[in-house]
Amino acid sequence: MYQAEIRKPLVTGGKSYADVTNDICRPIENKPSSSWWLGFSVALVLLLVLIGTLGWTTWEGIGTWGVNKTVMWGWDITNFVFWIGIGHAGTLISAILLLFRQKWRMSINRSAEAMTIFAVLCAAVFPLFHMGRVWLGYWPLPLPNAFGSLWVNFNSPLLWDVFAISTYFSVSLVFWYLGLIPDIATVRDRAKSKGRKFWYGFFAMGWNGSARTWARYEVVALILAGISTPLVLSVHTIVSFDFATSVIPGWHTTIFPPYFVAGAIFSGFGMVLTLLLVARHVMGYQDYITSEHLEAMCKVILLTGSIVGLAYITEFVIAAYSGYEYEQYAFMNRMFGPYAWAYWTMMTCNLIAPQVFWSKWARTTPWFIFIISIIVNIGMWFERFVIIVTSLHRDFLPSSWVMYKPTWVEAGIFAGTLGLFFTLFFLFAKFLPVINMSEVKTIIKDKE
Amino acid sequence: MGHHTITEITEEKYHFNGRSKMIAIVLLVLGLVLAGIGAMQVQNHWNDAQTEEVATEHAEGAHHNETPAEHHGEAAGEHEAGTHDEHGANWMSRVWANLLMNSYYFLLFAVGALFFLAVNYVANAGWATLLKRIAEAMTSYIAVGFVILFAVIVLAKDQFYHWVTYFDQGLAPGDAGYDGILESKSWLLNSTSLYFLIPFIVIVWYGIRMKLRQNSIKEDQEGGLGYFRNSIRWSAGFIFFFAFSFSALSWLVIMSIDAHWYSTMFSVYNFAVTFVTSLSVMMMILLYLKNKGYMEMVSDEVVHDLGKFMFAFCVFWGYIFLGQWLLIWYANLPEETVYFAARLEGIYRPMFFVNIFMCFLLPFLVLMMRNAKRNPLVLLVAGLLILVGHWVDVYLMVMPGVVGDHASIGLLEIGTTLAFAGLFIYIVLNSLSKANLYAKNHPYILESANHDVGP
Amino acid sequence: MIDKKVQIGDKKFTLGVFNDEGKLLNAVRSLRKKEVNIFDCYTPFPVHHLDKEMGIKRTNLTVIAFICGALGTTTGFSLAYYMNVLDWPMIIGGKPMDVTVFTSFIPIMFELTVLFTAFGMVIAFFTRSSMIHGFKQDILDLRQTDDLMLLAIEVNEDQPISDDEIKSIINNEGALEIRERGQALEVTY
Repeated sequence: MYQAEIRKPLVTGGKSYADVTNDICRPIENKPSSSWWLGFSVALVLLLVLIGTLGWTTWEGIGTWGVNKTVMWGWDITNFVFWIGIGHAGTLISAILLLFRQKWRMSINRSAEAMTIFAVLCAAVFPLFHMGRVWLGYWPLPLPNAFGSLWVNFNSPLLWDVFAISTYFSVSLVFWYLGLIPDIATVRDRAKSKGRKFWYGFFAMGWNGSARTWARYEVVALILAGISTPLVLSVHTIVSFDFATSVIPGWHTTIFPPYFVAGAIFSGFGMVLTLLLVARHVMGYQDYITSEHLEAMCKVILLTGSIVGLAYITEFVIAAYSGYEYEQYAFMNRMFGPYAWAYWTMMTCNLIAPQVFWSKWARTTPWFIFIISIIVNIGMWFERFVIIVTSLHRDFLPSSWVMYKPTWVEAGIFAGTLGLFFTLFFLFAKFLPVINMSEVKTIIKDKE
Repeated sequence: MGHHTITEITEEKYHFNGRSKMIAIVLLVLGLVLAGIGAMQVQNHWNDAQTEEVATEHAEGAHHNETPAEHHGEAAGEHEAGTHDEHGANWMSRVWANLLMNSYYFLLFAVGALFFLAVNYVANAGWATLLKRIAEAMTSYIAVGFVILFAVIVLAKDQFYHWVTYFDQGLAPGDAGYDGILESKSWLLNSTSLYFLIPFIVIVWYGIRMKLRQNSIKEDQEGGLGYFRNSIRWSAGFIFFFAFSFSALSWLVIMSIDAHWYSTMFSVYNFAVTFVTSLSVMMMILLYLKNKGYMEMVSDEVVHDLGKFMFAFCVFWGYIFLGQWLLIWYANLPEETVYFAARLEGIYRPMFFVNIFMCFLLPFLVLMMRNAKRNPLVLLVAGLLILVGHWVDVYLMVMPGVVGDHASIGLLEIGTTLAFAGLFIYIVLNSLSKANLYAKNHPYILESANHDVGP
Repeated sequence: MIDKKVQIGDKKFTLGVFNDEGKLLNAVRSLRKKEVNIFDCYTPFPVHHLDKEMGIKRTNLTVIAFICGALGTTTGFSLAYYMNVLDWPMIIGGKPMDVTVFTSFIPIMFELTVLFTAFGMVIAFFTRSSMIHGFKQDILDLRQTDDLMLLAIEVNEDQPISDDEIKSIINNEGALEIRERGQALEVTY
């Protein structure tokens, strides 16, 4: 495809096709480095924490958590929304940016999609265990049951969530796997040992790079991108419906669907940047994840951060405009109530911090981007905390006003999901190519 | 197949000749005449109906004659903005409402085009560069369009905004007719907002528009990357300012018609309308030019991608519509449902469904197939569906609050719309003829000329 | 359903090996000018326009996608309608469960549309491309998934020009080497 003179190359270092294959297969074919082992062990320890705290919760019950009658959703749903949000960047990068022909997505889509899948897994832990009796976790499925023909309630946003998240998880998995097939075939054809030949051969499904298959493959990828785009939007929209279909001030506001989607993309890109900056440094992929990529991602952070900021201000202005005292109180309570510190953390991290990306220096300095990306992660966690806890803890009835404090079990589960996430991510980085080789090979000759 | 790379951009100029000029002027004049006849019809009809209605109301003991104090003394939740506003309606209300909705609607096309330009700069997108001059020409309507809109608002504010008449009374708590809800909105709903905030917003937009246009023309003459880079900066600033200012504008101009009602989605909803309609107008202009033998360099591939954008933002509108509707329907709070109640009951009911069909379902089905987006006729149909559909959309935003049950679609509505269409076409085509049809020195212009949508 | 053409079997082939997609495209173009029937090409990444140059028709998988999607929408609606309206109607939140709560059905109808489209299309893709376990697949060169591009032409009487002419065209277009099938490594999964 024709490229304008002024476009900068997206892969630097004058790589040939063989170089791309060698560079990206190296971590898979070599023994893992000591830094990999170190990171993996830490993640495994945290995973054990997850298993322990979840076991304790299951054994003792939800009473081990800090949630109470007024604040019935606390850290669990905060973390659920936090992880689901993070799970949005991957499909966004591969689907929406594919439709928008943003070629810089090519080096980062693989790991972002992997991140999506792992994040959705982490998210699923929370509602599942909050149900209390996790062994009855199949009850939200539309199955006939033994007590008569009472079915699930299709009027409930929580049921929509069940459908949305399982669809999102499986479609993302299929999309990711489909993208992996040509690269798995590459690894298969380079494999020396019998075991590797078998396993990579098994998952490559006999891919041979035929032009006919490629032609079909590209159409399938495009359609998948086309349907994944509204899917991504729908998932966080439905998560926002969990709140916004209620009548609780601070939850019930019509801007929630697009606001949650923008927030999800924002937090997702925050996490993608955090991970990629580390991976790029540790694995030495500076030629593939160039400062062009970082800059583009910073711009997305700036854009979505500003949209989130716009939504905060819209909510606030319209609450003031509404003339509805409960709505107005909810926002005053956020700003000046007992959880004001959380609100101002959120505002600083989400609205103000990303604005530094108006400066080109900020967008191209990796260590600085890393700091901002961490701040964005923190800010988006607090956004969910603010929405959930501050809206709930002072409801219509002042006699039921309470404060909410998480227990060590909740903290342990949250830390544990970080362990689950990173364990999976380290395994992914060891066994699968973290950059999409076949896609990157299509752009290395763009600049010659 | 596409291995023949285009390396040079032909210079082409659009001639706004007698025939096209004639059509635009005829539309404008015909529209005015029809609107005039329509207005007289409305006046006669209104007077007749009014006499009848007064008679029945007296006979039935007149729900409508309850004192304002009783009416406003009710809890906020039971307050029905929809039935309230028609109280002061007279036949001129319908004329003014038509002027308001059309001046707003056509202004949206121009603003949407400006947003399109800015987004393409900021996203470093190359495919649409050949269409840049069409978008630029569309933005030229902002000035005239806004002058009309502003004049309409200033002249007839008491017709549209019952808070204007309310605040004129200067009531104190305890007075008959005191409305605490409106009082609490006085910080936004006041004459400063109307007279200063609205013009300020649009003047800034127009200023940025002038800067972008100037850069574009100078780039044509002098070349170089300076103007391009400068435009990116202005575009980024524009998008940031636009996000906040457009929200404020849509609240002030449209949402405050139903002053008791509020929805945080409203500005996003209006943005969705803006973008999808301006893309459709752009498509119409492009098809017209290609039909006239201009813009041969714009390949089917570029048309296809513009069609994809139309499709995508149709879906986006559907999403935003559903988001707003579902939440209000689901929570069932009276202070919110009043907006939809006024539109789902009585004379607006059919239009409410027409709106959904024409803005989302039909264009969605029409534009879904790949070949549809490469067929001028299908694109024309889809574009018209979207434009008429959103006309209904804006109609539904404005009319219930201003004229209530006295609305209908007659010569007045058709005439006013035609007149605005004529004016819009005249201004845009005139502006289009002032510069080359292609921004030939734009760094991405060749990408657009060699564009290929791929699989 | 299954694309027979990709099954190489025991046929005899001429293979042109390239390391540049531009040269491969030129070779395909020159051969097609002579109306040579190209069996297939094998590339490590999708080569832009290669399918069009080879004369491969656009796939109709999108039709399958559409049908599956429509099926998903219907399934979503039917599930909700049967379970909550016909079989066990309830009144929840003051909303009687009948077709007027259609709005509530939309999210699940949408999700199932996407789910059915994605899975239907991907399954159709695997089937159509014979990517099924237990199916023979021919890897002509281990580097065809790495950095080499292969052009495979079946040697038979139907070709309009002789095998030598074909080889010389491929050679002129800058092939690294020309092989006959049997010289290449054969790996079957």
